[in-house]
Amino acid sequence: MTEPKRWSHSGSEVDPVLRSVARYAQDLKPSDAALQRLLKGTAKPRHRRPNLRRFTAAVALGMAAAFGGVAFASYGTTWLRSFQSPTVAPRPTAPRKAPPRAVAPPPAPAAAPSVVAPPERSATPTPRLASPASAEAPSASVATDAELLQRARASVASSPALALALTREHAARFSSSLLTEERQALSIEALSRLGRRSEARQGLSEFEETFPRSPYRRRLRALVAP
Amino acid sequence: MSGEHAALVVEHAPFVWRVLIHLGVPHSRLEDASQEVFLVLLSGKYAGRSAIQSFLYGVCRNVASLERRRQRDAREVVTDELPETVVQPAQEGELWIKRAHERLVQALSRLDEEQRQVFVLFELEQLSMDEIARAMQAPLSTCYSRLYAARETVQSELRRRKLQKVEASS
Repeated sequence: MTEPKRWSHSGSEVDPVLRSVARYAQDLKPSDAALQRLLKGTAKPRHRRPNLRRFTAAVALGMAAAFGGVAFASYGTTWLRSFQSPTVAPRPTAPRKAPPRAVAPPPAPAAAPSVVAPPERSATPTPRLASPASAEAPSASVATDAELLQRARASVASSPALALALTREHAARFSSSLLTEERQALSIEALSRLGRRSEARQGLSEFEETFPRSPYRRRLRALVAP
Repeated sequence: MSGEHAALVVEHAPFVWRVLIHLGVPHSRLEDASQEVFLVLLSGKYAGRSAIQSFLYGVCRNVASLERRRQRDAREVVTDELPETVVQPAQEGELWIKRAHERLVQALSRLDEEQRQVFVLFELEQLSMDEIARAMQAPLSTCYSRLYAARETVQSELRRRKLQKVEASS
């Protein structure tokens, strides 16, 4: 059986947003600070563990895992070869065995919004040594989907009418976009800034029903409120 | 001895971190959960170097289960929402991929454990299907079925607009 292309592969036929998400997920790692704390926390033997009961339970379960639960066969260091496997996207990934480096999540293909590392993941955000986006031409589709929204976002404060038009275009062209939440938040903001209060309020109440845990909620409420 | 321990932690921390994230451990709990995984690894329960990734995945699974149980017992509402203070207009552009990734993690929680394992190991940890079949001690064809089923479920979950609402009420 031939292996399918991974979602992260530039030639895969998956939704470009999913491709970006897969790449983002592949590069998640603890920040240097978190790694240092981890080293410190595991440096001394058991007696430093604050919650002994929980640790014992974890050990017991770990034994179960080793002997029966999820009994993997040995695959040794062959997994490292997957990084040189021809089925993996031919992007220059830095070897995983390299010493940990502070790293920002990979930039999405050129025209899409840049990604900022949250504090917990990268103490000192530095540019990636090997960027998947720079290794190959960005897909036209993902540049358009996320880029449209980025343009809408960039213009919403200064030209809300333009922003609204861009969200309408996005809705028409990418009706099942995975970034629907972002689009709806932007259109509500644009309506509010255009003074179209009742439409903005209506949009917000629908938005809150669909996305009750959205991080955009609070700011939208502040914008739409009288 | 501690030098060897440190090297193990440094080498495998990224793998453990990612696996825990994709098994649904909230970001606020990741450091503690990783520490638990490595304490198990370093407690002497692991026998030989060769199967270490297998062992670690199994421990991650169990630690993730413990986390879920702990949250339920404590009746905590662990909100893993992005801090609202960062949601400023200039920074919203950087949030979309984090939000989309959150939705991926939620979709993965809908899979059965074997499907999730194949998906995580193939798509994210980039093992080959052969390696995964050996690791899971399952026929290659079974692993392929699991991968395709996982992809199908994840994609349809991500397209459901009401995903957030279902999460809130479940």
